[in-house]
Order: sequence, then structure tokens, then C-alpha cells
Amino acid sequence: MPQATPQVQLIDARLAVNVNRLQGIFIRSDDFQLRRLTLNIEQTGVPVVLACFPGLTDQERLAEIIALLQEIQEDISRLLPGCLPVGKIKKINRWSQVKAKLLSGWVVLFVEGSREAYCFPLPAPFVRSPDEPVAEQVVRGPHNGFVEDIEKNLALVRQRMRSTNLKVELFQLGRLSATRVALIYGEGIIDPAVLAEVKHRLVQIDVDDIKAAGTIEEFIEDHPLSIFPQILHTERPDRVTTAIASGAFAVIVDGTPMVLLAPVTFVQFFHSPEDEYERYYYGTFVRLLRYLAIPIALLLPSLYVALTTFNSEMIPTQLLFSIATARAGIPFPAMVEAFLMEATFELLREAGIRLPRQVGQAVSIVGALVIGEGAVRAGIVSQGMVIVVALTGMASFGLPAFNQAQVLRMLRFPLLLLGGTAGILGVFSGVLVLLLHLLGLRSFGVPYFSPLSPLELTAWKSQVLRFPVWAIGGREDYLGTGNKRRLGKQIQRRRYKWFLPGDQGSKQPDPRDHDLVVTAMTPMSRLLAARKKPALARR
Amino acid sequence: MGKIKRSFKLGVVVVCVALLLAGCTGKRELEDLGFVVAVGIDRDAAGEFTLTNQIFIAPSRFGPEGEKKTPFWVVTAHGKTVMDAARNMRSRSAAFISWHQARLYVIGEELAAGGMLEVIDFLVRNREVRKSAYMVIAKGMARDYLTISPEAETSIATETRRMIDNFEDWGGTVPLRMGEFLTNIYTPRTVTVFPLLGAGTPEPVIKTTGEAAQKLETGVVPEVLGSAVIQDERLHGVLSVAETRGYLLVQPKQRSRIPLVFSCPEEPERSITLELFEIKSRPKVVTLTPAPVFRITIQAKASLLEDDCSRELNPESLEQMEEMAAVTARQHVLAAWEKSQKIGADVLGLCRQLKAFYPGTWQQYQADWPQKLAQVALEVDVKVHITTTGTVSSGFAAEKTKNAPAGKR
Repeated sequence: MPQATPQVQLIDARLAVNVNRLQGIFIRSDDFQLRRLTLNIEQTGVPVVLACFPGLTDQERLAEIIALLQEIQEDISRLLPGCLPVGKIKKINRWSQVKAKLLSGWVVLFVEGSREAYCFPLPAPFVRSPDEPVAEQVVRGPHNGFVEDIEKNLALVRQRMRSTNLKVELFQLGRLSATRVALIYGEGIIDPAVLAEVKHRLVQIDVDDIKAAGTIEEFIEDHPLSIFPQILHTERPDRVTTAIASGAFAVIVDGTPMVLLAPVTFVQFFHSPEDEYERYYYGTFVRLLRYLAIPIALLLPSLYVALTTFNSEMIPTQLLFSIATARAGIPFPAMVEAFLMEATFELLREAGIRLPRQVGQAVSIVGALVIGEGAVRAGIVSQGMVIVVALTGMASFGLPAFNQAQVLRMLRFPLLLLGGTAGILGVFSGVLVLLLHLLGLRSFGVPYFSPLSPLELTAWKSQVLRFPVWAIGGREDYLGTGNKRRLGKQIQRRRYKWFLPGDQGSKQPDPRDHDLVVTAMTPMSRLLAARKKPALARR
Repeated sequence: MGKIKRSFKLGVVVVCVALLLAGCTGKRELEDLGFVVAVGIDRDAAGEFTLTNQIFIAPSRFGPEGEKKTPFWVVTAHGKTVMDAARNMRSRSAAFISWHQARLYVIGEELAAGGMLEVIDFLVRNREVRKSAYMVIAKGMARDYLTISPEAETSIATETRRMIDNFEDWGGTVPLRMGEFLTNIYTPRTVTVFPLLGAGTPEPVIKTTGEAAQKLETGVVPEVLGSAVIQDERLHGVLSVAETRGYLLVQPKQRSRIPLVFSCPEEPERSITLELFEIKSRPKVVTLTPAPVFRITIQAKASLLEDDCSRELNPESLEQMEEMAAVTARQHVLAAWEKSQKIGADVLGLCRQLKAFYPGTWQQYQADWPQKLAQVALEVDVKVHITTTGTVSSGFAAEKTKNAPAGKR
């Protein structure tokens, strides 16, 4: 017995039947609109119906299009594609297509006597312009960021990576929300296994509503129970293209400006796009500073409590006397004091974020005065603890990845408990457990602690420190990319040669050096390659 | 899932082990602790130990009483052993006494002269005793020394440590860390040189009237007096400042600088001050029969600090100055050597040469080495090289003489 195939429901030739059906589909959807028109084609009145969601479409342009339609006097099927000022016009004949297009903000035109409907996108211009992301501001880099519209976001990526190797695959996820999700990657660069895996994980998502990028993240990350994020969020197109060029993929979700980047390693959470735009000396310095901020943000309160209550012999004498003098008369044990202060600080931070900006500042000032002055003067907390909490807060704000900083802030509390009950031994046991966990994590198969463990020293140049761009010849091994070369051999040789005396760098370029996927020989580069001496050779 | 379960179990085990090993029993809040900063150990007339501790107790920040109170508290206790005295001290202390921060151990002269065997056992055995702490011998009783009011610092412990650290510029005493002493003490016949401190009475400021003048005239202040020589757990004698400089020329410490003062040639009423640095010393056995003869070769760089002589400074006069500095340095070394022979303690460490290169001979001499020292002869060869003359080459006195009218020269 042949297997029953689902019956394809086609558009009827009678307009009245189609209108009835549309009204049936979108019953109790008051934001759905049907506009009946009569076009004067070849001296006869042809009834047509325009269907759309006015909230999703540009009404001004729709009015223009209606005016244009009424001017048409010949065969509509022949004339329509050329006479309407819209990007693309598609013919559709299935009801499933009609539903999908209408829900995506397209306008569908039904014509009496035609078994096909015409549809075209007319997006409402309500999306904000690509402003600089608040959470990832830079001084020297580009100042645009993603918006809530997937089309614009894809355009922002395309503008920065004009290559045919940049591939975009669209998915529609969410049974109710039918959210469009775009997977972007660099063909020939990304590890095919990673690509297959992410596609597999994306298509497996079966949920009613995709709220934001975070929903997708929770479904596709490797270790869903881990406290550490295994996918990076960004609002910056430049960061996305940098990641794609290094062999990662990006997931853009319609309706959210946050783009997901993976595979990602622990150290990448402490990179800022600014590192790439500043000189490499400063880039390296600021990265080292951030690494210093990690233990401060995570461990300072617990170490303070552990040292003052268990291991006071480890504190230098003068410092110990200062701390002891400050703590004299404080009614709480150091651990309780630390808990109180840290919890107050977190509350204050939370209040500052959620409130309107002006009120938020007021809350911060009141909080700082109450804690900094009042509590210390009243002898409820010690100055030392205020300094520790302030330092910890500063260090956690110094970390560029918001989601990773949140994790460190949360982990501070269990470590504080360990420090207050088992001293230094407790703190380091906690750190050991965290390290064991971190070393076992993977992001789409890539070890989370790369390139620290497994050790890959060559990757330290770009991942741990920030070496000059011309010194980073290849892509990182741990990403398993199909194309290891990021810098042409000749330019690398020549750049190094500028440090050396003699005439060793005048060799003609090897055409095989330009095997980059994303590369083009511009007239200027041809000119430079033909020169015997490099343009910037030592004079 | 299995991996996460396994890591979770592992984590629980690690944290439990930490809790079991540390436990809440070791927990002491800072405000409940008294920190010993200086320890004085004496033996009283009855043969018991007297322990004097200077303890830091954080003063309460609240109320006028708390603000006035000094944080340093000196307390004395007696006991049959040092540990017994330490335990007896608890009868007077509200705070739990922590010894971890004690950076100064003062041994009374009388106790040191009678032998420090029990003290050494206490120091070696006790977990809370910091082996990097300074050790000094106090003239008279350690208790009396610790009750002296410091002049510049808030506690006698800090003031003493800073005074000893001045040896780098002065060469009048020798710094000693407990670890070095405890290492030496296990080798028989090895001498350890301690800093020697005591109460000094500063010269009164005569023109000042009223209470300040009174205070200066009657008050005593801590003062470095030289060095004390300990051999086989017992004080054998003391070295004056000049003898200590002689010792430091033979056993130079890192960064030690030794000032030398001597008269100008042909102008005994005028003087020259040089400072020796980068001192290198090499003792050597010259012969063993009939009696051992040692030669110590010392090489040092020098900088000219003051030159009051009227002659011009030129290569010849510099060379002459170097020779005179060598003679003065030699005198310091010989002074230390004479004291060494007198007290019967090998201060200059000559026995190490015998131990290293003539072990057979050392076996013969080892038992009565203090007596044998009197028969040992010492040759000292010093070479000084002046490398800097300060900001001027020729001296002010010489310039003045040169520019004076012909009749007045």
C-alpha cells in the first residue's frame, strides 16, 4: 500500500474562496488586514485583494504601490514584476507559503482568476539604526552594532566580509514564534565537523517560542549544566567577522541584537575588539591586566576572609596590624561581614542596571555613601572589607564579557563560604574543583581551556597575548580549520626581514602564498609585490 | 552527564577533604588575637626563664579610651622552661597569643653567657616561630631592653630591626636571622656573631629648656653597641664596633660597606674618610707546621667620602691613600683576630679551611681548637682600589691651600 503523502493545499482561482480561507486562517487576528481593490485591466474591472499585517509593513510605501497598481492597464502577470518599486516579487501557489510570507511581514496580492498569488517584502522601518553597542564600546574601532532585524544584521556582516566564502544558512525555529535564525560561517575555514554539528543541533530545536539568542544558546551548548558560558555573545559586526575569519561560526537570531559566536575558549571571554585596534603593546598590556582581574574578581574576598581568620601569619606585619585595627569592634565575623558586603554590592549593582539611568546614578551614590561612610562609621563593617569589595567590583567590571563576569561574581559566594570555613585550603580546593571542571569543558568539541591546555604555544600569540598582526601567520590548531594560513608567506618573510640587514627580502612573491580564501590582488598590492625593496624598508 | 556526575563527586570529595584537614577549629578572628612582635628571653636568679613579650593588640576604635590606648603591650611571665613561661603568660592575656608575627628575638646577655640550649630547642621545635626573625643579644636583661621607648618607631621591635639593617652603611654590627643561627649551631666550634644592643643615654640638648630637655637627659634609648660572639650555644665575648668591622672584612655580608677613617700623611690633625664596598675575602692555609699559619687576602673597592688634607689629589696621592686604607683595614682585622684569640672563639672562621682542606689535621685540633687558636698565626693582605671620589676630584682643603697667597701656604 503506497504511503499517504500530505495533501498540498493550493490557492484557488476564485478570489472569494481565497478571501474566505484567509479570514479563516487569521480569525481573531485583528491586526491582519485585507484591502480590496479593483484594477482596470484591458477595460475590464479585475478585483484583487492585498493581504498583510500593517504593523509589519511600511504603510506609506504600500499606499504608493496601491496607486501604481491602479495605473496598470495590461496583463498583470506580465507587468507586475517590472512596475512595482520593491526589491523582489515572488509568485506562490501554496497556502503554506502564503502563511509563512504574511507572518514574515510580506504583502500578498491575490488576483481574481489566478491560481498564483504575488508576494513582496515591504518591511516596516521601525527598527532602530545600528548604534554603538552599550556593553562593547571601543575608542578606535567601528561604532556600529547589531539591531533587532536579522536582514540588517546580515547586511552588516556582509559589508565587512565581501567574499563568496561567507555563507549564510537560514533556519526557522520556534513552533509559535517561527523565528528566523541565520547560521553564518566562512566556507573552507570552518571545521566541517563543527559545521555539521551546529546544523544538527539547530534543526533539533523544537520549542514553541524562541525568545532571544539565549534560548538558542541553551539548546546548542555542549554542557548545559555548566555554570560557565560556552558561547560568546556580541553586538559588534566586526567581532563576528573576526571570529568567522578565524574559523568560528555565528548565529544571528531575528529580533535580538545579540549574536552567538562559537566555538569559543575561556581566554576569548577576556578579549575586547579594542585589543585589535590599539597598538599591540597596549593590546598585550591590557590583556595581561584583565588576566590579573580574574583572580581578583573571583578570589579576593575569600582570600581576605581565609587569611584574616585562618592564616594571619601569611599577611605582612604592618598590613596585618592595619587590618586588625580596622576590624577591632566589628560585631560580625569576617565571613559574615564579607557576605553582607558582597550581597549589598550585588543588590546595588542590580538596582543600578534595572532603574532608569538618572535614578540608577542616585542609587549608586546613596549606596556608596551608606556603605562607604555610614556602615564604616557605625562600626558595622571595616574599612578593609570596603576596600576588598570595591576592588573586587572594579575587577569584575574590568572583564569585557558580561556573561563570564556574572559567573565569576556568582562563584565568589561559594568560594567565600569555603574560605570562611576551611581557610586557604578551602579556597584552593574550590579553585581546584573549578579548574578540573573548566579543563573538562568543550565548546563544539574545542577544549575550553585551549590554548593553555592542551598547550598550543603558537596560539598564545593571538589568543593569550596580542602579537603584531604580521607575526600571526596561521590560524589556531585547536579550531581544526580547513585553512591554516592567514598571512601570505611572502609578506611574513618580508616583514621579519625588515629587522634584518642585507638584501634577503627581495625575493619575488610565490603565487602559492596567496592561497587565502578571502584574498584579492589589488593593483596596489601588485605594485608592492613587484618592487625590489619593500616600501617601508629601513632607510 | 556521566562526566558531570563524576566531576561533581570529585569536587565533593576535594571540598570535604579540605574541610576535614582545616576544620573550623583553626579559625580565629583577628580581633581575638594578640600578635607577639618582639620576644625577650632571660634567666632569673632562681634559674627560671623570664619571657618578655611585646604584643600588638588592636585598640578599639570607639570611645575616647580606645583612641588613647597604645596598641603595644609588654608583658612578662616566668616558667621552668621557655614554653612554660609562654603558657603562663596566658594567665594575663585576654587575647589568644599568636607568635607568627614575632620578628625579633632578644636574648639576655646573662642567659647567653650561661648557655642557650633550652632556648634553642624551643626555637627549633615551635611551629609558630618564624625562622626569618632577627636575633639579638641585649646588654644586661632582654626584659629591660624591650621596655625602652623607641625614638623613631612605634615599637621597639621595628626600631631594633631598622637599626640593625643600618649595618650596610655603617659596618658596626652584623644582622642575624634565626635560620642562620640554627644552622650554625648544629656544627661544633662554629661561631655565630649576633648584633649586640643595649640602652644608651643620648647626649642632652642643652639649649632646650623645660620638659623636653628633662626627658632627653633622663631617658634611655635603644643603641647598637657592637656584636656578640656565640660559640657552642654560649656567649664568649663581645666585639667592639672596630672589631666588628674587622670581622665584616673577613666575612663580608652582601651589600655591606665599611667606613675607614685615618689621618692624612704628614698632617696627623686632619683625616680622610673612605668607604669600602664590594669586599672579597679569601682565607688560605699557608702552613701547618710547627703551628698553623693562615693568610687572608682581602680585596675591596673604595669611594672617597671626605678628604681634609691640604695636598692635591693626583694619582700618586690616591695610591698613597689606598695604601693607608689597606693598613687601617688590616688593623681592624687584626683587632678582631686578637679578640678572637683572647676569648677563644674562632670569629674569623679559619677552622672552615682546615675542615675543608685538611680534615685529618682538623680531627686532631677539633677538641681543643679554642686553646690552639692562641698558637695560630695570621697574615693579612689587603688591597684597596679607590673607584670614585664623589662629586669633586680635588678636595676643598687642597684647593684653598693652592689658591692662598704664597706667604700663607
